[in-house]
Amino acid sequence: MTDAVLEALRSAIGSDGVRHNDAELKLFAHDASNLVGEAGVVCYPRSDDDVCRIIDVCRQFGIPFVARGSGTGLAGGATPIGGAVVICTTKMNRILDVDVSSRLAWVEPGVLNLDLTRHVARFGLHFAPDPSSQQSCSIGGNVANNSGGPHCLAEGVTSAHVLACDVVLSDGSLVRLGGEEPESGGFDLRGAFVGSEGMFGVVTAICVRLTPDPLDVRTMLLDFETVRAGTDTVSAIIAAGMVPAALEMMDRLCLQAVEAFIHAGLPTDAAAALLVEVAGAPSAVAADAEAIERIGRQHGARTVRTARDEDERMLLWKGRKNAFGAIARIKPNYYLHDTVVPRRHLSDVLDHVYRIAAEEDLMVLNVFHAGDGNLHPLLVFDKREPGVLDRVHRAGAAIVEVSVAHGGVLSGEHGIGLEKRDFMPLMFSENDLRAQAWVREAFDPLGLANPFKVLPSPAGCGDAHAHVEGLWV
Amino acid sequence: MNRIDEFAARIGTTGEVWIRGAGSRVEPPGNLRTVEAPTGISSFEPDEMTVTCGAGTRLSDLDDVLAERGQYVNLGQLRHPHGTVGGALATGWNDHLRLGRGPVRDSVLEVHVVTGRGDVVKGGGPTVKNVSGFDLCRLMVGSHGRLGAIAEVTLRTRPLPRATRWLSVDDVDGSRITDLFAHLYRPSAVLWNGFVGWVCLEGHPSDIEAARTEMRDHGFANQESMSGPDLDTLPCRWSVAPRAVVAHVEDRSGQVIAEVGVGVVHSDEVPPRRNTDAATEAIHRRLTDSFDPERRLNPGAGDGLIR
Repeated sequence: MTDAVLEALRSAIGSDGVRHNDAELKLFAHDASNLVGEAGVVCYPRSDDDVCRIIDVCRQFGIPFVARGSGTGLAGGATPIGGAVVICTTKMNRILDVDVSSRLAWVEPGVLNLDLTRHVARFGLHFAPDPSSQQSCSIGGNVANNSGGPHCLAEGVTSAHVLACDVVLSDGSLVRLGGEEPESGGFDLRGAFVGSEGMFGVVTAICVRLTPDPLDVRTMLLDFETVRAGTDTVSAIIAAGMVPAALEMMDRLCLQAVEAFIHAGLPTDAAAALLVEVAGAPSAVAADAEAIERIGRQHGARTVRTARDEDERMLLWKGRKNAFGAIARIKPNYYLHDTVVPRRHLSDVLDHVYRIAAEEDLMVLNVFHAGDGNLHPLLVFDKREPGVLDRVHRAGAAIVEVSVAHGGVLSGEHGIGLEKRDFMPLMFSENDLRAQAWVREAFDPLGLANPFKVLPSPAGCGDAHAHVEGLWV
Repeated sequence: MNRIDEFAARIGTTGEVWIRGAGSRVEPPGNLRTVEAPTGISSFEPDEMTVTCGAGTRLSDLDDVLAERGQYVNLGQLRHPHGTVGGALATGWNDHLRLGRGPVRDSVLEVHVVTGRGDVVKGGGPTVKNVSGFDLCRLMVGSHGRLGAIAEVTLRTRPLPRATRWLSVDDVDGSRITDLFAHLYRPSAVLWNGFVGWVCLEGHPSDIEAARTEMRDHGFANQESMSGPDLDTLPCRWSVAPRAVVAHVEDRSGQVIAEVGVGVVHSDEVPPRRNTDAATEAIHRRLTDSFDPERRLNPGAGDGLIR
């Protein structure tokens, strides 16, 4: 980064908002993935004005910028390439307005997902998207990735909960996409922006829908002797006309790892367990819970454990939400995948996942959103082992390919970023990809917002690969 | 040649063309060449909660097939029961159950469109959850076919509610409608004309009964109402922030029925024209320049959408 750029940024937002020391540059060279790029400088805006000024400097010098929230992304979406300016939104973390009667809130992008839910809990409301990283991920990041979470089965992903975004475009203009009003006219630019992985502009304020807390909740754990019995139960529940609040699955290795970690009395001898939560009004919850237990037993559930109180419910969820912490006890490194397949193919695709892992001599654990068909195979390894990264790489590619071959998609909630960019042609034709590029160009004709992500480009590919180290899966 | 490619061939690459649905929402202007989208359901997977159909499929045909398996897809049919899937999506018009059922735009999982250049473009994916690539599906909903003619879609279905009940409550002023809205657990609709409130509750019959009892306990005596108020006499739609609904209704002299918690106000008065800011307009223009550079698809549709 040249002194002229640094000086321009300092005079734009003040010296204390511009960081250029080795430690911070190294820290911001990657997100939570294994993909490491190169940060040119890290800026901490405190307002939308600051963001406009930073982007003005980027435009003036022709330097790309990358917006970053908490850096919990798993696809390299916030990994800067070739010395880009990192715009870190952690200091834009104010909840600007909560309108309880209309059940909406305006927040800055750096507000943490769970902090918003905690803030509005006193009104009996919550923010529905609940990624596993909800304690640390930011709502700006949720918007960029159109994040999901276990409870998105019934409530929908982030896009369904975002009414408006204030966005700074690469030309420095501040524009409101969508609005509090329901029919704001024109194309649904808000809808296009959510999930654009930072490539359309930088969001500076978000209007989100808040969801009333359920009147009643029932959380159940059903365990099975085969994975197929568990996945058949999932399909049967949906076919019976129920959309539970959450429908999560853990396989045996995962159950064993989690049980050793949290001691929740999980069935460690089962092939798979389903964590099912039904939520809503009391009679509907009771009827659904009864039907789910019946369907489970018809499909060979050995036991059906219903949480008796909030403590036990939290314990069951702790097992699910802390699965990744538990995995660290097995091997020091893990690689988490994210694909979606039609529910009816879950068993077959899981069989392939086990086979692929065995062929590469890798250990795989599965803990995933079965209700949406959203797989999260977790390959655990020790990166000090010679050649292991190549095997992990090959296994990851094979998992993506087998998912798409079964009518699935590349990503359910982590996004494409750098990680899956070069797999996009598996799902999309040249025409499809060109149309996506058009949308990007409509928002960012200068191509300064987080370039080299999502869309494979023959020209950009080489550049990006040259500057990024890590796993390409 | 599959039916999407056939549709693309009929649209061609030159000359203005109007994608004709049933004409129930928007009348085609005269003297334009018209093309109809493919019809028919190509797959319905009740245990995936997805259905794939041609955009020319009649809403009533789709509703019938889904209802046989206890499902529906939210395409705003309550207010606009006639017409085609493509027409419902191209306009993106919601009905008055949006509060409970969500907006039409959230129903689309995958879309195939034909651009003004004559190319077939797919957006989204066939699964109920997907973040692979940019969201072309939502961009197409409400675009009046100006970016692409919708050929085929995969939609997300939902279970039909166990019961649907409309209730009406008399003598409801601004503070009482706010109070009523705050008391109800996830109603599908709360409508209000300044004096009378209408509530649509969906779910388990016992929960609906319990909600009625609770309403009465809070001073909201309620009667069963067949299907809510008649909105057909109020052809205009105003769009206001939900927090401004009460003041808006209280300020109007004409007849209105407001969707509380949503912000649509049905009225007999034409709403003022909306101003688009320059940055938004520039994005619209660039999108259209790419998708339909000659402005040949549905010219003039979506009044003032592109300048």
